[in-house]
Amino acid sequence: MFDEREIKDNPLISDSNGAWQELVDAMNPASLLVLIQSRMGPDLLRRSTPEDVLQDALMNAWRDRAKVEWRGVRPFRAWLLTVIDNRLRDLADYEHAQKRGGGRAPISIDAPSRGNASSDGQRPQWLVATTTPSRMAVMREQAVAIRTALESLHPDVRDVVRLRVVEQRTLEQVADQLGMHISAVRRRLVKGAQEYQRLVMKHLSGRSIALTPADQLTSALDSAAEGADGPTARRADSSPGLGRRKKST
Amino acid sequence: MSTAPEHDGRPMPPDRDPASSDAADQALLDEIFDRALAAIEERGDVTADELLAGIDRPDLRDRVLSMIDLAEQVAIATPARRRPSGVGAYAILAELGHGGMGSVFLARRQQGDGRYVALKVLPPAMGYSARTRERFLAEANALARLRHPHIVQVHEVVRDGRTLAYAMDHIDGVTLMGLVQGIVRHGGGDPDVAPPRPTIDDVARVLDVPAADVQRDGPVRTSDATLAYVAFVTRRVIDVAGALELAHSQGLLHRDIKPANILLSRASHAYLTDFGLMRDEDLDMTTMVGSEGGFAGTAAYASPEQLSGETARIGTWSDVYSLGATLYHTLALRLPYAGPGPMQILLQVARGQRVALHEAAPWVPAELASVVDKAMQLDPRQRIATASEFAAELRVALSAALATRSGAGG
Repeated sequence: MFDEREIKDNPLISDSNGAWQELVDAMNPASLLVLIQSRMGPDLLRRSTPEDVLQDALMNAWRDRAKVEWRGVRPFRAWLLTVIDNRLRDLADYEHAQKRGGGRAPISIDAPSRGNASSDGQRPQWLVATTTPSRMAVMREQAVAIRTALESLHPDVRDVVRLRVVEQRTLEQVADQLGMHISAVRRRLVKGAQEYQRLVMKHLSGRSIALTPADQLTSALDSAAEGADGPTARRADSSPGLGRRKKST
Repeated sequence: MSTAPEHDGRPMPPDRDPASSDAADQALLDEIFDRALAAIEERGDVTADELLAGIDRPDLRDRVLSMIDLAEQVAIATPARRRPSGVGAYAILAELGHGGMGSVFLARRQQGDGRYVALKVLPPAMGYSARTRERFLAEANALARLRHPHIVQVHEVVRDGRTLAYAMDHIDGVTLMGLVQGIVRHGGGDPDVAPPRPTIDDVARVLDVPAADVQRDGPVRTSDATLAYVAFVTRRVIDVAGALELAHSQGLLHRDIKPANILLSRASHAYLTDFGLMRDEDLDMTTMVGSEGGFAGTAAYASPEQLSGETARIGTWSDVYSLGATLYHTLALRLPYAGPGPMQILLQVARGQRVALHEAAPWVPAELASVVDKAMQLDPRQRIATASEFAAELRVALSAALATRSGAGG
């Protein structure tokens, strides 16, 4: 058996519900639901829910956890996202095949498997804790808050927040994907995070949201970018807000 | 004599140009924010000291703390990984469990009587939601109102910054789920194929008490150790049904009864816990049930009307169903449904396709199996309707079973 220290260092070696539960919590399941929903087309959403896909992916991850080298929460979350993408692809293929009048139902990744049981012979009990009604209610509520906040964010910061906070990519990856200088990404991340946090908390606290006027946010970004970006800042986007940026002198 | 310019109320270092240093500070804080966010994503927390290590800027400490605060809120920080050292007047000693609405810790009051309690803590990340806070407080209030020997008593609600908690009796023992797992683990084999045959000695072993202590609340005059186990478990469920009856009499439904929500003390006393969903009228069950597997493990105990989202049909009989499923699982050491995954379980619950208790566990007397079957009927109109009826029928069936098999009543 593994001791507590070893399990803390690598939760994948543990069969304990608590260790797995902590790992699931650490991956921010609410934001995973948001990501899953954003990757599901309307047809898929009619037949399945983001919760179903997440549940399937978590069961698969539990089953295959011994095959994964533990390198930390973020890499594990990234791996889980590839599992989710595979599941979504299977479901989409099935959907297309159905439309053509054929196709076999995708084998659920929670199909019978000896590996689906924990070492005490029980079906993994973390499932119970992960998806209890109260837990699911909290996750759903947080997911709606995250999605609403993202949609309400100014376009200049929305992609940065989505990629860095929700998808948990590195700053370098975000900069690369958006064709921006990393310092500009950092600046937008802080500005966007402040706005995103305000929107999420307002949504969760149930009060109406007074959005920051877009001009005000753009102006704040512009003035900050003067100092942070410098003349070497690369800009690939052509959003109207940033188009009004003053040239540095 | 000139005075040094002020920055955040503190004198600026004399060799800094205010304009350029502001921009440099901002760039530094931007970088620190990303590091804070990455640390929180990876391990759940970070300190200002870590973030300022190697940077000789103590004047930035407050702004770094603000960045940490922002990163925690943006990440909707991972509650379970951030174990508090204390909440209000309570020192946290150990984690007892982790559930849907936060964790339960063994804690000790550092003032007054210094008593040990079970402290249920709603972590700050969950407490951001007004509805979640209301739900949490509603649970504490519901528990506090229900005075019953088989319901844990709430002592007080604790607020500590953004953290919300309530202190309740600490029950030294295991949950019924822990009991089942302990027996299965010890007995070996695959519980879905051939679960081990439980005995009263298993209870003693899992509770770590002498066998005589397990039975002291009511003599079971039988030499059949498995029948003694059946009697023991049934009596515990009868006790819980009494607690449930009180809740129902006050217009409260539990809606989440399962083995993990019933505690068994070392003194063989059963307690109904986790009233997180009780009287949660604004919680629409239809929004929580995925089309296939969104309900997963709990589906094995939830009534068909709960799973199908027919909120108008949910009543005391729904809790009876769940208590019946709980008794089934604890007696048979396996779930009532044989599906390999949540989707299959959902379908089987919806169709009432459970494995008959007498087939799953031949050691359960037919009289008792029949009552469990009546408690788990697919159609609520054909089901035992109230917890008190369920308890009464269990008592009669248990007495009959014991009289038949051991020549003595229970």
